[in-house]
Amino acid sequence: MIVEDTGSKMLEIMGMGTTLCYQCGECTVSCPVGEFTGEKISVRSIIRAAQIGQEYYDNIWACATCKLCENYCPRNVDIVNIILAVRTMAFSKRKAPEKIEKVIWDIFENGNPWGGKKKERAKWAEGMEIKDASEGVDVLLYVGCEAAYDPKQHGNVRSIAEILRRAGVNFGILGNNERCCGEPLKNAGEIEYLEELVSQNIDQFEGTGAKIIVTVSPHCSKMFKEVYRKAGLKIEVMHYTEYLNRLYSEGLIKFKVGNSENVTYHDPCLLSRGEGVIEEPRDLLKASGFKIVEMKDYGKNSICCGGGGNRMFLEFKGKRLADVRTDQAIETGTGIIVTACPYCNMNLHDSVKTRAINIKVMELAELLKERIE
Amino acid sequence: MVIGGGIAGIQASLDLADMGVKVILVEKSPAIGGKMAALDKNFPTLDCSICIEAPKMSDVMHNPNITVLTLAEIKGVSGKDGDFDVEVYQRPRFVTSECTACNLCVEVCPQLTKNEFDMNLAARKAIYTPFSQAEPNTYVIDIDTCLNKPPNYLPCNRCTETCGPGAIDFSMRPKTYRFRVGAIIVATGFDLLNPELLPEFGYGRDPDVLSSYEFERLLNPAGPTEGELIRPSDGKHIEKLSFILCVGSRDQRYVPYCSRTCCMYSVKEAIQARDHGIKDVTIFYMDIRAYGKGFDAFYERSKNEGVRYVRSRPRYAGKEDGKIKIRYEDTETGEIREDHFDAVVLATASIPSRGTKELSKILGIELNEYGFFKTSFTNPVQSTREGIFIAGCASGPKDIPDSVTEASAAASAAQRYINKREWIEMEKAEPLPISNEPRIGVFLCDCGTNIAGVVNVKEVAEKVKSIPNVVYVEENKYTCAGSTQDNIVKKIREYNLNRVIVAACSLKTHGVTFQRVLSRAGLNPYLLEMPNIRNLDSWVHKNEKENATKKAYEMILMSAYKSVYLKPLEDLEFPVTKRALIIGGGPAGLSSAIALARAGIETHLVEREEKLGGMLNELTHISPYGTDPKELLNYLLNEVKNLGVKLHLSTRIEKVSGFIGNFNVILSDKSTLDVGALIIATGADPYLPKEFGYGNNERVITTLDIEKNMDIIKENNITIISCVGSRSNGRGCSRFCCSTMMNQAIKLRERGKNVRVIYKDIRTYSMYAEDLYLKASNMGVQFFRYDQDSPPDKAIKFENGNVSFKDHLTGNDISIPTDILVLNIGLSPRDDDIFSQLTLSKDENGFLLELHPKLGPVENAIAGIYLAGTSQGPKDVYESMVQGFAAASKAASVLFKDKIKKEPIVASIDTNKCIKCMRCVNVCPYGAITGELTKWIKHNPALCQGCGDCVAECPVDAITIPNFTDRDILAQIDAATEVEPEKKVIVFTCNWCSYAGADLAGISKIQYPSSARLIRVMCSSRISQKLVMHAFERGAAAVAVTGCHIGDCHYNYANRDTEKRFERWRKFLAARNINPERLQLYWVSAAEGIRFAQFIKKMDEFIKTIPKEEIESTPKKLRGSK
Repeated sequence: MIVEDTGSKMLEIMGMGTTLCYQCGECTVSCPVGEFTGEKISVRSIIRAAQIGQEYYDNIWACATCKLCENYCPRNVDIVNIILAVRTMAFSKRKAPEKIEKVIWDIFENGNPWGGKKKERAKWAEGMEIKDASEGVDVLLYVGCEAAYDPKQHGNVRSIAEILRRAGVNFGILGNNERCCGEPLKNAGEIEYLEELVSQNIDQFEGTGAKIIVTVSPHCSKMFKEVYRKAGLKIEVMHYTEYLNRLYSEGLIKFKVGNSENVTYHDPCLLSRGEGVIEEPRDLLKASGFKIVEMKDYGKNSICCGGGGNRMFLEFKGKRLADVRTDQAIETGTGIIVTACPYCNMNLHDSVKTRAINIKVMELAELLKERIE
Repeated sequence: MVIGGGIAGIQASLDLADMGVKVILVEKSPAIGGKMAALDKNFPTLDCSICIEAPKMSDVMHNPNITVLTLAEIKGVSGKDGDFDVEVYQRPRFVTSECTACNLCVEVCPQLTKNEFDMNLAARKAIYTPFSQAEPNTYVIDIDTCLNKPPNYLPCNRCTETCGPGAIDFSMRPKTYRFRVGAIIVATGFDLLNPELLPEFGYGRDPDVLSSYEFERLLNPAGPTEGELIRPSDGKHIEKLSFILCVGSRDQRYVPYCSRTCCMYSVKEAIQARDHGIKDVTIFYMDIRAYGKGFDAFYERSKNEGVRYVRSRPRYAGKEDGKIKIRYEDTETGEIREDHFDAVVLATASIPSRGTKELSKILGIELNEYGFFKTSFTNPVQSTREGIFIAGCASGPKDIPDSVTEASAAASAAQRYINKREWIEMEKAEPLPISNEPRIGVFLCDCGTNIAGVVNVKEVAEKVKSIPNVVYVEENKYTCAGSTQDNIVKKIREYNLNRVIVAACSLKTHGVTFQRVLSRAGLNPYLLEMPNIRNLDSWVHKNEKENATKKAYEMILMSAYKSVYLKPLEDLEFPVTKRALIIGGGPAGLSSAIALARAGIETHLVEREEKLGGMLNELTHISPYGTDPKELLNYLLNEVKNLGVKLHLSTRIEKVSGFIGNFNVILSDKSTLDVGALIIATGADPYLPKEFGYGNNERVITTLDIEKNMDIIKENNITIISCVGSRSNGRGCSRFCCSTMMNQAIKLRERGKNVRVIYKDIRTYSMYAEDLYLKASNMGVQFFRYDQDSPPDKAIKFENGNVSFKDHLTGNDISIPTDILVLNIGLSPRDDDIFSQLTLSKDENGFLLELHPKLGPVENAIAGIYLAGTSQGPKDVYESMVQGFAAASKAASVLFKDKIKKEPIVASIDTNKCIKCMRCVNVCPYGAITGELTKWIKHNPALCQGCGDCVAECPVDAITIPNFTDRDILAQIDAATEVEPEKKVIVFTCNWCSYAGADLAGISKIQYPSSARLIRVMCSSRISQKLVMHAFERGAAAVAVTGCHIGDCHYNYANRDTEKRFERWRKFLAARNINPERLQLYWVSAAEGIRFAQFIKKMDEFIKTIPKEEIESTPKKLRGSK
């Protein structure tokens, strides 16, 4: 292979983080997609190609951006961001999968990647009379696309709203004016439109006067905490598990101690590895009287449900990661998998349903709401 | 004061004591020896680790200048350099020195705990000795495990009741000592990172995932499995094994630096695993850092022996069918694989030893960013406080030779605070009157069950009593135990013994011990014989108990016959010229000069160039520390000037001759210089590449060219190729080049260049070098890997502004636009006339050969000559300086003394018998004999090393070597052939290689037939026709002459003479119609126990095929010829 001016162009585009890697291959063997789905994915080769400026797009769309590889990387390489940069290259050369292009159009036209209608975004809140955040609020509850358009998730969002209300928090939502946080754009490598969307969203958020943005999905909170922060967002951002834990520690919510039921908790990767939120959801479960039986891999080492990195919009062959997780959950002998991410919630639900496994999947807020005093 | 009793602390103490300095050695644990004592073998020599360390441990214990405090720690330090006041706290041992190490207490002790020495793979009792060769060998009670731990309402006291000498004393209290010392050397070593911190490798979750140090204990015959490689989970033999390197090292999450030793000890363990019969051995690595002398050859050897290397960092993926599942990506092919192993060994990172932080506070010295003791860039053993020095791994990971070198360097730095020097003679009893009548005492050792379990010692003892001249026989459980030693002293005096035979283990490990016993009894130490009935008998014939018993008796008989002829010998003494000469004025030579001049020794330095500094004049940056070479040079030059070193610039050595204490040197200005010691610091030459048209193509330059001036590079695309002239064509790694290259790559990158590096392995092994690699990577230097097995000019092409090659990290052919090609060069050996004048040996790469690669890195086989810097092998500036200081320490210990002693094993010529034929003059490897044909002959005992080559060469038997006279050896042959000679092979072994190889076969418990009778001489070149033919005349079935491999000879190729003579002897036999195959010549190195055993087996099979008549007719045929 003759490479013109090997790699210097790539270095300009991606920054120098790519050359930090010394090519040990630990990322490849710690990648759960590679390990469990049967697909041969060489994460190392993606990084190698990036560091020497070769075009190599094999399997870049399979990455769940779960960051498990980064746990074990001896050189602290920013692996996931390098893969996203490679996707940027691919996208700019129109080498992204068709489905991804459709997702981007959907966000552009309707404000969400699911093809849902703009006017139905706040359908979940019907009958709850939640304040419109543009009237001015302390807390902006940012719902996110998956939770807004998937009826199975509505119970959870309503539970969060209910708990906030009971705690006496002055909160509101953006209703039908809420738009996608842009994570699918970032994952697709569509950087230009992402920048535009981010700056519009920031203006909208800042306009509400909110001091805190609380998100339902860790994917949104991670976007806000990193991409939006860099783009100038000033408001504090919390995932709902963090915020509820704060309310609890401030005594604003109290739990009636119910039956001491055994549950297991599935850490969403973006929440645990991405944002370091590991103890907060567990503290809430314990405070409300649940006993946690951990799965084989948990906390920082948790395995992805398979939904991250735009995998939600694509079809993959082989064993599903969500099945790996529900298998691990069954091993705990508990009756409920608790999680705190709409993607995880949906994938785990699907796994349990399609395989007819006898275990319940619940969002943390749904469970907590029942035990709020 | 030396803190820490590992190999660095031991070496520093011995060097200081040898310089007449009183030393207090403080060790935290119950025994000295450190980590080296727990290792099975060393790389790349495959020496048995404890066997080469134990003599040093024993020297420390018996040196009157050294006081050893075990179980002791430093509590406080005040004062300043030259006069420190140190407080030492010593925990009680609860066992007094009355202990005889009989082990009865251990048998009755009910309390078990983990055995730390065996890396917790085995158990020990509450009363114990850490390992069988432990020094001090007094047992110790671990009071936390003991049932008598206060408050003991129900005292156990089983040990107290069993102990014969009443050595157990529970009333011992902690002691506090105060010492006034001039300087302190910190040699506290290192610890290992707990591999449980890296969950990806499964340690702690799976018992079959081991650490390397655990594996060392499994390999060790004295370890928990007696050297069997079995899986901890189920005790089954390991058949498939893998090693994972860089576990925690070179890892931003744990330790960013390279731990320096793990690659090589893993390569060594892999070779050993193959030797143990494990078929499938895999090493997972990223870069093999075989940077030291002989390391690359060792790495190649492992590949030839079938060790598989995979460039990958794998992952533990659980147990499947009882085997460990490993997932890995072969990074050279991109294949993702799963493989199953019986066991996995993790090479875990070295970290600062526990207590380092606290000790740094007590001593008032600083730590570096990685938590090791910080050292100075102008003196790599100097701490941040005057008068306190750091040696070995206390300042960062190091291998044994580097640690030992630092220890000597620290000793040389510390000794300048000492004003009073003293060499206390060993206690000597009043000499026994030697009667003419030989009176032999025989002490037979059971060695626990090591000997007595196979040999019927009682039966042997009974038979020995009837050997002529034997007047006393005694059987001991452990003859080497302190109390037994005292008993021997008593018995010698009581029975008026004038010959002593200790039938036990190897004189190589215990000879000095028993020689001391004889001295203590007032008997000349050369009246000792040690038949090695353990290593050469019981350990290797465990299934032939009867034959082993017979052999033991015959071995003692051989010693008894020989001992009759032993003569008391006095050590030779020579005066010392108290002046040192250093040849070469680079960083190594300058460091030596400074250390010696500081010690008050008249120091001369000869430099062939007109200015001092050597390579320091060429460099602009010292990597990886970032020191300015000009600044360093100025510092060194100032010191040299202020200390009054006598400089001879633009001067060469015309002629050099002489011996330790008395060298005579003629300089090129015709002046002469008499000196007592020589330090060779002649340096090396930068490799001059022929590759890639260097010299003819202005676009091809070297790392040295840009080191001198980086501004020569104006262009943008720079490609660096590493290992040009190193690691190919039989040449090893040049050590410093990777680190130099990293620094240059960073600088070029800072100037905005596109920098690409094409490498084989990145070997940034030293403390800060890996940081440079990280920094270069982080700055966008692109790294490519080329073929491991090809020289660079075969694997890489440079044409039309493009460098093309196959990148082994993608498997693709790659082409890189290149304006300037930089060749990263190492060092070539530099030859010098004086090397042949002094008969200095060279290694396979042409660098000077050190005395021992592990424990004698700055010494030379020739006493009084020391090696410093790159003349001995490639190294960086700091390593050269450390070696310079270390060589100075060795030279100083000679020059401080008025007289130098030498073992009296030297030739002497009967000038009346001598016919002045000059044959001996021609074969002497040391030029110790001079003369003129038919006129005169002169032998210089000071130069003579005692090989005996001249004795074998002499046509008129005019030369003798005491202890190895014809009479001595003939007596041994006679004894060996007294009964059933037709079933015996007489095997002559040399002291250094084949005897040591036979010793090792014993240590490794390799079984072979009992037909061989070994006769040890110093060198195979001592064996003459007379001796060989005598054995045949006596009816021996076969004779074998064995020695070092050609090139390894301890006496400068004397064994080439053996080779020539052997051909003659065979012709002699053939001419007399005797099957010449019955005489064999065989080379066995000290590391080749297996080879030795295989040879004896082959010989045994062979002698069974010799017709009876052939053997019976031989004596007649030989006699007829006379």
